[in-house]
Amino acid sequence: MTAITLYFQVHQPHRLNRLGLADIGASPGYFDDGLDRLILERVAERCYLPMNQLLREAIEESEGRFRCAFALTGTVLDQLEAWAPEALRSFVDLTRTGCVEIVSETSHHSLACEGDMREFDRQVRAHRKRLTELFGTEPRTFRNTELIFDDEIARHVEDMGFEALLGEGADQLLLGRSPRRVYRPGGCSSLELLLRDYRFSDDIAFRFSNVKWDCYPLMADTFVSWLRRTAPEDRFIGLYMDYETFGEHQGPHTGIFDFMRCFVRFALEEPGLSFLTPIEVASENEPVEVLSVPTPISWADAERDLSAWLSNPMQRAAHEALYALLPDVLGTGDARLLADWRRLTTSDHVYYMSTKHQSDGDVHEYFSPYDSPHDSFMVFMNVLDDLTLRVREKLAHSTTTEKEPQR
Amino acid sequence: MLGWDFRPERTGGVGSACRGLAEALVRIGAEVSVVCPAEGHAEGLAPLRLPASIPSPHPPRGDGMERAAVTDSTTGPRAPSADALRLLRVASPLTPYLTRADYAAAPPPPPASPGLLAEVRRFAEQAAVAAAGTAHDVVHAHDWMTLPAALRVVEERHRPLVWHVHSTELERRPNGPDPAIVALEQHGLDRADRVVAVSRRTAELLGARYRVDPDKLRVVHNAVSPPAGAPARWQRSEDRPLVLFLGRLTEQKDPLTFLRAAALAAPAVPAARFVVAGGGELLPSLMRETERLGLGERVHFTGMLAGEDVERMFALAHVYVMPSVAEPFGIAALEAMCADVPVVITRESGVAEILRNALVIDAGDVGALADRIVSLLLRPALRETLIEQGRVEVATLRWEVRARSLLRIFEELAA
Repeated sequence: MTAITLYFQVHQPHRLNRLGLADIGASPGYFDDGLDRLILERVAERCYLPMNQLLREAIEESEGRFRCAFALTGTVLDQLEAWAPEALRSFVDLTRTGCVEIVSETSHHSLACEGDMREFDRQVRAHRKRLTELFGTEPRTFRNTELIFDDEIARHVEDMGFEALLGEGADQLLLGRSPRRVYRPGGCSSLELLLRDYRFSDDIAFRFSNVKWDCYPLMADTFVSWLRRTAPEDRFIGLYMDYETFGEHQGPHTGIFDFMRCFVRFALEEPGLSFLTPIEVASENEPVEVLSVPTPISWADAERDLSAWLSNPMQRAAHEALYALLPDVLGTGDARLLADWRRLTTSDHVYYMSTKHQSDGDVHEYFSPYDSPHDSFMVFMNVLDDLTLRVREKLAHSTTTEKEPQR
Repeated sequence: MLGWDFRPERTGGVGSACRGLAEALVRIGAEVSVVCPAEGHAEGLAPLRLPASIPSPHPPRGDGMERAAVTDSTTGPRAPSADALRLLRVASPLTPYLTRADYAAAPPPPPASPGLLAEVRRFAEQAAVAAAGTAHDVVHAHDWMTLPAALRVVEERHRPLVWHVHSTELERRPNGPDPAIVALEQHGLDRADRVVAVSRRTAELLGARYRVDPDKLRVVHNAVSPPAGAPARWQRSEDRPLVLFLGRLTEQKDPLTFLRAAALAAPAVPAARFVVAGGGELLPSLMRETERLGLGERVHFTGMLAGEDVERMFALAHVYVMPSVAEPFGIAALEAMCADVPVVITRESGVAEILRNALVIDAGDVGALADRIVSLLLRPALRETLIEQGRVEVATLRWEVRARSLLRIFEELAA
């Protein structure tokens, strides 16, 4: 029996207002709530609500044999609470069926693992607490931002008590091994690693509506027949993707909703296939091998590394300047300054600065609210400079007040 | 090709384009004879020196009427033969962008005609005589001054005419186009079998304001020749960054926006110098404006620069600004990038259609321009990224690619 493990990433960043150099010191609002709200309401209507409904029906019709997992970032939770509470309720209702696992991550979908490990721990613990309160059960599976992980990150995740970790089934990691078995990250003693099967995942997430793909149009029975043909020792097939794939990246006109409905139905009819959540796969299987991951792997771009976020000088400068400010931000003890700083840690900000694949206008541009990577860098740095001034001012002020009694 | 001399310092963008295209056409297998105006007497000119990859043409015979190679676009790429590129110079003081007033202000000695339009007609006669000695399949002309000459050649030999538009009078002089020049452009656009525009925006303008039939309109963007590779003789001063405007001082190029942005930017970057390189009708008013803005210490006017002085300016600059309100293409932006200078260009330029490693602003937006200049000077990572990626990008913007597009257009007509 091979399990299909569906895992959906739900994320929206807090996009920035277009601050110019002249705005530094004037401290206008940093975040473009108007744009965020517009996008969130659209995505809730086109994706979250109809897809949650579809999954709910699948669970009910199959009497609980259909199962899946979600990770919702803290930033999207903020936005759902503010602007689409009914969509948030539908996520909570879904988990009440007992067939949906909630996976944890950093609160801000950040690159804290590359900036400051103590901040990484803080963001993970804060988010786990929030998810536990919201959904009523404590998450046991972890996925880092964009599936970024290496041995060091895996050890931290294990130390924090997680039992399973989701990762990318990158070729450079597997070196010919199957992504459909359970592994153990290097240096871990209990954590189980569940990798993404990028071929099958991308059939849905990227290729589904591509008319140039030789398998277009992909029919649900064809897809199920592919999944059925996996080797007998394959334990699970990790289909991990952006939740916005459904209705947003792949619009309703592409037939993606009908495809998913039929895919679930046909898969459930197959005696060799079932649906399991990540923690269920981890509980039912022992790792077959230790996989050592010395340098970080992610699910982004063809390189499956960190180059989508941290390769050109702008990205490196922005990332370094951001984390260099953290000790001072913490030093102020000011919750508002820390909240603003944390929103800047969201990885989307450096993703927009990417200059990779400039010639073929790619997914970086699809997601970016800016005209160019350079514009996004200038705006980010202007915001960061303004925040730096506020932090300095606060520190100077608190130093003076502390000294006053001595005078 | 009825074009311009291979000395771009005398002719601006259209000169580099003629050279780049002619040489690239030869490299991909075509044979090209270029008839162009040249100062002085044709007999007195030394043979043109071409880069090592291009065989030197035979020195012109005294009458400039040697037998020229056939422009043969039907065969595939082959090694350029010694006859493949020929330059036939006709003695004339014509240079692109000359206005009737400028010409009249400093009239050249005979045999040049006393008026610009008369000189254009005289050049046409001489050019037709020079071209009569060449065998060719297609006539390819560049901008209005070469048009009467191209029409003469086309009429004599019944060959198709491809007219390449690098700039139009309506954009050069938005407030007072010369009606005679506009009429000539209109005639050429109506008569041409194909019209090649250097950008989509130029093609749109030709369609909207000159009513050019969209079926015969094509876009072939400009490109840039790789730098000669000579070791840099000049060192950028990191202590005194230099922000450069380089172009004709006309309303179209909008040096005034550059000055006003300099005034806004100057306090934030106290060490920066602002250089206005170029000559033109706006020079006196720009100098007055500089005084009025209190920028006398910060802004330098170099006057018109040519050749090595242009190279030197790019080598010293930290930022190149092209604030044009209308720019059919803007090869200078690519030349700056070749010299590792980050560029700020306007959305209203043709080069903005293809360039990704540039900061793009709206024409006339003084605040945005000042913001970009200061950002480039204060944020080294922005400069580094633009330089690194810009180097990669300009390496792909080669004349060979454009020459292939032209060759396809020639083939359509020859078929």
